[in-house]
Amino acid sequence: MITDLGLFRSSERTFYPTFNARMISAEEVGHRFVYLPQFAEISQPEHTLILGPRGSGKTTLLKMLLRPAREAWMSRTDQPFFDLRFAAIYVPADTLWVKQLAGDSIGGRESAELSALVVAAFTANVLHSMVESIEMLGPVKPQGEAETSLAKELARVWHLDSSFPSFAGLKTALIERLGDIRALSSRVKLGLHDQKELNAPLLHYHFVDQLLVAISVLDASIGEAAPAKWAICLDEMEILPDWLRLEVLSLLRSTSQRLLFKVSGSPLDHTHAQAFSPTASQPMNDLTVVKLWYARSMDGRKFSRSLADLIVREALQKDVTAKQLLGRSPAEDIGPMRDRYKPDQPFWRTLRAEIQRDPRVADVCEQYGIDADHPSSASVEVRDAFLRKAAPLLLLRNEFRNVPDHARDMRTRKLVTYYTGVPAVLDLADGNPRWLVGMLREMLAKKDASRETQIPSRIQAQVTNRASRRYRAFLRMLPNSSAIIRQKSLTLAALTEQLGRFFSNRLLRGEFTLDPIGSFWVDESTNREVLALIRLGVAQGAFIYCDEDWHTVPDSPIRKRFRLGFLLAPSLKLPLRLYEPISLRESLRQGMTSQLGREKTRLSQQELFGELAV
Amino acid sequence: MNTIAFAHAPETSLDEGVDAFIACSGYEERASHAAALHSANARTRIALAFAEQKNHASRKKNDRRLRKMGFEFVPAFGDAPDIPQQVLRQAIDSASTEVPKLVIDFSSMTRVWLAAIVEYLATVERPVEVLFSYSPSKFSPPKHDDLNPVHVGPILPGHGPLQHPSAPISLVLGVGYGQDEALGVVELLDPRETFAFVTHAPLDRRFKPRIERANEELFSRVGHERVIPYSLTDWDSLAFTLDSLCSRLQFETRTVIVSLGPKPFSLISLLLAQVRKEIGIWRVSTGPSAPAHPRPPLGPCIVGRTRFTPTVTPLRR
Repeated sequence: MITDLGLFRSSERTFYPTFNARMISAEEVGHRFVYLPQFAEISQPEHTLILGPRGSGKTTLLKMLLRPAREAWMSRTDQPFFDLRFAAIYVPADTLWVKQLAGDSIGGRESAELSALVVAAFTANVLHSMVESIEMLGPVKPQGEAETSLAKELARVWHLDSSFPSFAGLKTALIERLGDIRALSSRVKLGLHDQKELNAPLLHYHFVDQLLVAISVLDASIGEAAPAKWAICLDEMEILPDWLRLEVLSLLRSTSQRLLFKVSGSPLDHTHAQAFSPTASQPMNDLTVVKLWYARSMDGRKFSRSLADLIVREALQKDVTAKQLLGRSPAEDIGPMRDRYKPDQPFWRTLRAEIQRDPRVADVCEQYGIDADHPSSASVEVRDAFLRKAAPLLLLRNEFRNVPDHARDMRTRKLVTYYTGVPAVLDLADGNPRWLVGMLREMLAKKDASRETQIPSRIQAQVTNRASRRYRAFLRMLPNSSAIIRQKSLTLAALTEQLGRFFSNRLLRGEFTLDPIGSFWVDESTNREVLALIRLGVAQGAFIYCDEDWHTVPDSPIRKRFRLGFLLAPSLKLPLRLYEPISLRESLRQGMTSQLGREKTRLSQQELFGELAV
Repeated sequence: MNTIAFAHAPETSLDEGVDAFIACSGYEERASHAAALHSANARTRIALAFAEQKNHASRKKNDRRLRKMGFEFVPAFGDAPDIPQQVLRQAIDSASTEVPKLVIDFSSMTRVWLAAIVEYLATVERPVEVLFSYSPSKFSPPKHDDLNPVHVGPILPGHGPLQHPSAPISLVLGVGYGQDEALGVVELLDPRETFAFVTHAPLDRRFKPRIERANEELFSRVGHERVIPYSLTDWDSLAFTLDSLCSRLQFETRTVIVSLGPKPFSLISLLLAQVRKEIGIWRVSTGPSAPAHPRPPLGPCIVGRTRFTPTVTPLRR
């Protein structure tokens, strides 16, 4: 019956082609690594906090600290060798693991018993990763008798019941320990446990102590060949429960000289305020903070272009660039230099049409001294500046005016092509390798059928629209993405959509200007529930933090500037640029229709910003 | 751990004399349907009464009907597992037969209640026979397309395995008709493989276009060979297919089943997870503030006969 369903005949096929670095080997991460300047920063023998939204490449950077990843990368690059002065221990985590580990205790601490069980499971995970790191030590990795002897000793100090004294045996025993902890956790939650079970030593060991003991054992085993320092690379820290995250972050202040922490996290994590407050630490002195997001599309393009070229070359097995494959984005396609200011070029035709429709466009032209019938009459500087600013805005207005909402449905052939080509496809990904690779692979898969050199913009538009739609579906499904304010529901998805509609309406239907409103800053009076949603949105890439100059680890959205993530742009009819800010309060001045879409669930400005605010 | 034997049963089996008939009272019109047809021969009748949404018109009607049939009401919150387990314990303890026999109409119960019931039955220290009854509903359109999940995670606290996070995830979805709801789960968990179970012949034909529209993007991404049709009335085949699939996935991946559609898929998944401990069952809950669906009953009840026996052996049917 199963084979009739065809379930197993295509087991090699993955429909969501995983570009999650967590799921691929260190060697493979190294083979596909595209150099980022931030890699040099995290390679320093210092505590490091790597901040970026989901999918921004934090996992890749952490995994690149593993020896096999670096070696794979070095084998195909001319970059100087990064001879790290530490051995990395990569500790993975994901939503499934954290939810199974800690359930719903994301906000507050559970009972002491359950917290101890969570820490015990976390410890087992870290020790498992330590064993994997020992296996990656290369020439100094203990083998044969040395492996047996080291494994026996580690099993003894970690109180493991390992029947097979080997690294594989240790990992099996640690996975069994996870199962035991889970079973005990279930008994505790059901009240079926024996109090004596909670006194078991394994529940009271901290992973730092266990690691330090293991380091001593390894020192004794391989002597001077042992790494001088070990960097514990804790991935996806932002999804751990607050109390556990705080506990781990506090370790950055006080641990052994042998240990470094490389911790990935979300920008504006509220626990940073506690962990890195001036009284707790001197954050910028003893801690390197690495930023992995880009306020302006230009800033992330170099990386995105290199990654896109790599993916295209790999897929087509020939020297083709992403730009050759995707063509130029309509908003950037302003004609060759020599013809750019000829009146019959598409941009000037569009401009003249816009002037006919909206006299306010003519006002702006007049203000800049631009004559749409004779573009060359203005000075080179003026007309260049005008063209650079006006093209993306006018083309957006023009395109969405010609394509009604229902036509953006993927079943129709008429699709918005504004978000196609290079650099638009690169910009949509917002520097997020997972999104960029996902979109490119989908386009490449469709290209085979079309047999054309360039992927038609219609196909590109289908893919970018779908990516945007999937991202919105993801935002709706996020845990903790809804807040209740005075018994009315507010969700992150609704907040992004309300802001998107506000910006889009101004751009498409409001007064035409070359410096439109397209970002927001957060008022001090903003309700704490709204602030929590903004934090979550920043962690998930729905809001991009736009302030360039920050000298402390940022922790609160208040008085800070954000824009909407570009992947939302195709759904919300937005341009792919950072535009002028407005206060959040002003952008929500009509209040908000909360999720149920009924009048009685409308959230007023007072509820969003009023006396309930912090 | 108990052996679980499971098989489809005719609707008439609900009329066999049972020790207890356990139903619930809420705003869904179908909540009292099975009880009205089949609870006459039960020695005890218990209704789990939702502590939420007590003033809904159809809730009041259900209360009246069940009270008239002699049901004892036990109030419980929809997301609390302890009360259903207490009710079950009491029903089993007070049974006069050697193998207590119960009817559980789970049509309008929350997935938390259903999970709590299955979990309790899987650990109870005497054989128990349970007839799980489900009343399909007529189509009622979703109140809104925007989902507002207040919980996305394990179906019960502490439920499911704790496997090392380096293993990839296999996601098995029982899809419903919430717009892009299943797609959101895929994006959240980032699985290596996704399988979507979908009712191929819903009893009310109006469901089909709605399900297809709501999951259009998901089906396109997953591919047709991984969209697995099942019949809402053929629980045996569903159990077999799900068991076979999970048996293949267990060696390579962390398997999580998320049931968003009809509750029989949840029931079968929960029973399977009691035998295959490597499976995690998740739920997506919109919480008590979600709009009430009337869900009128469609017709006959669908029944599965389950026997829980205190020994350690694999699933047999």
